[in-house]
Amino acid sequence: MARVEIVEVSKRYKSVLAVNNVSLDVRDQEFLVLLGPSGCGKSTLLKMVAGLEEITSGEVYIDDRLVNYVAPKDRDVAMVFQNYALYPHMTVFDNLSFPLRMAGEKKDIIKSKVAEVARILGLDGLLDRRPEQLSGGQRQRVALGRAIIRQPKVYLMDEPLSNLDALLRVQTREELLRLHKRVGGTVIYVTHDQVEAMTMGDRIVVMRDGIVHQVGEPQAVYNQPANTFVATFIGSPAMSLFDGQLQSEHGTLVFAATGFCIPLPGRLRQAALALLGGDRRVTLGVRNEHVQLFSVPEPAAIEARTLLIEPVGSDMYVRLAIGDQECLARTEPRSDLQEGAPVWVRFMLDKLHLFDAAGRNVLAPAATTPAPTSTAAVLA
Amino acid sequence: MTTVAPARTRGQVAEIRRAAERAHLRRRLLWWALAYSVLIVAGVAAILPFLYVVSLSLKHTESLIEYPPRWIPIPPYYGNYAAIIHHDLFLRWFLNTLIVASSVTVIKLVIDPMAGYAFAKMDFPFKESLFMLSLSMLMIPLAATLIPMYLLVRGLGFQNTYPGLILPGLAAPMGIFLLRTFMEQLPKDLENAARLDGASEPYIFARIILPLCKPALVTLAIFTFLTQWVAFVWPLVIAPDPNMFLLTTGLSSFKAQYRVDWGLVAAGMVLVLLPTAVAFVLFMRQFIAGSLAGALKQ
Amino acid sequence: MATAMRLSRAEHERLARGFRWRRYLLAYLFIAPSMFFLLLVLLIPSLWVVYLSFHKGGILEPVRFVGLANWQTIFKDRVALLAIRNTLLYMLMAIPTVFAIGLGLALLLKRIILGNTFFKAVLYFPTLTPYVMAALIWTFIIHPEFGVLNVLLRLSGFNPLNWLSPDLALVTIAMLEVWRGVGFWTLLFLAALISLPEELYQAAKVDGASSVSQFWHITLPLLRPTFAFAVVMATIWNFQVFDSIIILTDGGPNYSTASVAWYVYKQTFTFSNVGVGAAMSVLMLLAILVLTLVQLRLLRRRW
Repeated sequence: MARVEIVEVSKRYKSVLAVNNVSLDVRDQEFLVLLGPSGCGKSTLLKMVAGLEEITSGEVYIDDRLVNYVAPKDRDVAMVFQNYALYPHMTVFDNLSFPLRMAGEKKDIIKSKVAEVARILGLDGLLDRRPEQLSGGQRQRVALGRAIIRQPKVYLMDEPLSNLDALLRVQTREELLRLHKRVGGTVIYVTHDQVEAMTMGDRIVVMRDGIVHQVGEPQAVYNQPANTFVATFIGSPAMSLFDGQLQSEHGTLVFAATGFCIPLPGRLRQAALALLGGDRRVTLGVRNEHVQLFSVPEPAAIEARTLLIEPVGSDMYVRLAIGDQECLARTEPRSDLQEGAPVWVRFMLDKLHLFDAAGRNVLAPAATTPAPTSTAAVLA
Repeated sequence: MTTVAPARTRGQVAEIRRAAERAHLRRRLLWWALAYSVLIVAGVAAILPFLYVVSLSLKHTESLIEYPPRWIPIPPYYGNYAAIIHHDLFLRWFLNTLIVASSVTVIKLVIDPMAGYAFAKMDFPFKESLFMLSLSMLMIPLAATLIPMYLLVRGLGFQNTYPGLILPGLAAPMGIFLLRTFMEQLPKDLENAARLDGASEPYIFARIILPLCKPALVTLAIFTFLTQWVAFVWPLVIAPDPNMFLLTTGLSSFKAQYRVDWGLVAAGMVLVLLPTAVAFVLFMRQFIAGSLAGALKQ
Repeated sequence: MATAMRLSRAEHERLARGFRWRRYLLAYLFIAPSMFFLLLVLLIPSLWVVYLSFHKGGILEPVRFVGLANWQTIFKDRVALLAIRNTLLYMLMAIPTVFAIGLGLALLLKRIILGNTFFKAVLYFPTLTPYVMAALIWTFIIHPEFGVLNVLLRLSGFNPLNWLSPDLALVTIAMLEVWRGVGFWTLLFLAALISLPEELYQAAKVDGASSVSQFWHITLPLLRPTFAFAVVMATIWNFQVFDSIIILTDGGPNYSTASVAWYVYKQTFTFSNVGVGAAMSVLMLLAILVLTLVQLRLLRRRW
């Protein structure tokens, strides 16, 4: 078993709180991705689990064992670094065998284990080379090998793919997942690339400024972002957001912005009703694939103006101006739209997202959801 | 549209351009000539005294008094060198200097990287204050601490001994500063990886970080060795026994005599400078880096 | 979702302390040897010397407290006051000269490619010689009959000079230092010049600035930090001038080359006046400290 429990962990550097009261449960054999922009604390959190950074407050358990005061080498974790951190003056063989040598393993066991790992990762012919003689992709595999060879309980990966070129990155992504299935173990993976997170993670943890904004399976986070930060961070190109007000018109709840208004679908009614009594400012969110465009007026469609059309082969991105705000729509390549010309827009109502004045999704439980710009952790 | 007729023929334009180029070239040549003359004068001024010493060393002492002085002695007289090497104490002085300089260098090469590593990679209370304290010691001149050091070393019974000669050389904050600066630039992930892989802190220091510090270590070694090679005041004070003279104090003792054998002195100087010169030519970059080390990093 | 922590704050603090101090101990062990020598050789002696300045004895007789007696001696002793004056004079002669020549040569070397390394090596060589050796070499150079200087003077039609006369002796010591130190400062300034961004000069040239104007408005201001450092270092080193004096003139003639360091040496080791020597050492320390701080502040604020 290889569960990791992170309990109310914080990290303070002088006056800055890099990680703020984060609690997470990592399940056995799970591939958990920590996702967030630079400086959000994900790497710091990872290093605290590894034991490379001191934990200011909170507790970390690996399989029910408190590891706060346990040296990194005794935690049974292995780490793959962004810059690989291979020992430059040692050969690939020595790099791979280093952990085993430190543990005092016998020579013949070391030899066979290195051979096996080299085989799995395709490093067979390179054992005598030095890191400087290897390509980026090969170095990355050596770094992986050095982590695997100890068969640890937990693998910690700090943006291991960010130094590879785009093509190699996609290839290695798939290889990593296959490797995980084969070798097993629990993985905590840090990245700032949401595509990586979505394709690789069993669950993703979206972080910003040291706090966790949302935890969930990739598709769930995509379909139900907890706040405007998560909504715009996940999904590329980003979701379009509109500022407006909640209004009650003839018994129907509408989203009213300058120049247009949209009736709210039934599933949002109850949550929206609760807001009527207080701050009525809301943000409406719609993903670009949920925006329907018509070149002629259509029932229930709003008139807008086409600003920019960007064909990208399989799709067309159309930037529109609705009222005094802008929106991005994705559609199949078509020839009936023109830049500068009016266009009629209809949002798929069952795919709308509504966020309150603080930016929280109206459908998310307010008590545990942080506001997008919050720097204070919300206690569960 | 009308075109303006050229005021000069093509041949005239080319002639003007050529003249301008020639003038420009003349100016550049003048500049180069001036620059090189200055440098040559400076170079000669710097080197000439040494060549003079070499020529002196190859002359018999009596011929020194001749005028006009002959620059290149023909035939060269090797007697001075023979005398020096057979001089009972010269080789002893050479050995002393070698022992002292090497010992200081070796010891510093061990303790300074250790301190540098701690300051660069470890965390402990008063780290910054201790480092600042070390650095501020750079300001303390040897002369100011001469008397107490003398009393201390003498009190410990180390007068006229190797330990006595070695002791002050071990306390140069430069080494700590140099190593710490260099080690800070090594990627932090490297030690982190080693820590996770199960290496102990001393192992990481000795087998992972230190091998990567070769440039800094070479610079430190040269700087330290050279400083000890030319040390004069301290050996003068703490080792007045002629048997324990270093090359510097030994050579200066020649001057104290009434009848100075200048040829001999000159030969001695050449022998002292020779290793330095050879090492300099071989390791010029490190030499220069060594002395400028503290300089630019401040 | 894991909820509350399982250990109390007190337990955490106890465990943390043990964990942390094990690491701190190792760190202290690493710095111990170096720090030990620093303390022993530099820190403690500089404090001790202050103590000594208020006492007499230590070599020939037992130590006894004498209050300000040593200090009074210094300020009444003509030689001591001369020593201070000479040291300052010497610094005023040597430092600006060596800087001017050094900077000039550095500017030249910056533009020269052919023979660059050769010149650097040749100019730097004197710096590698022990002071003692430089001084011995200069006893030849200033020789009234065969010394290079006088030979050149005679060839140019002038009379030879006695370089060790009371008037010229200090100048000679300064010249020695200039000769010995130029190489070092040249290379220092050269390294600093090379680090200046080339784009600034190109922009200035396009704007029509002459070489002189470029030097004045770009080079000098940008070199300020290097100068600051150089002046401080030069001051500290040159204040301690001793080796050349002991070899060439032994303070004479007529104490015209007595320096502060020379005075300390003589008082302590020739006359066994440890207290007086210590007092002068303290003066030296203070002077260097003050000069350093003053220079740092001046050079940092003016521009």
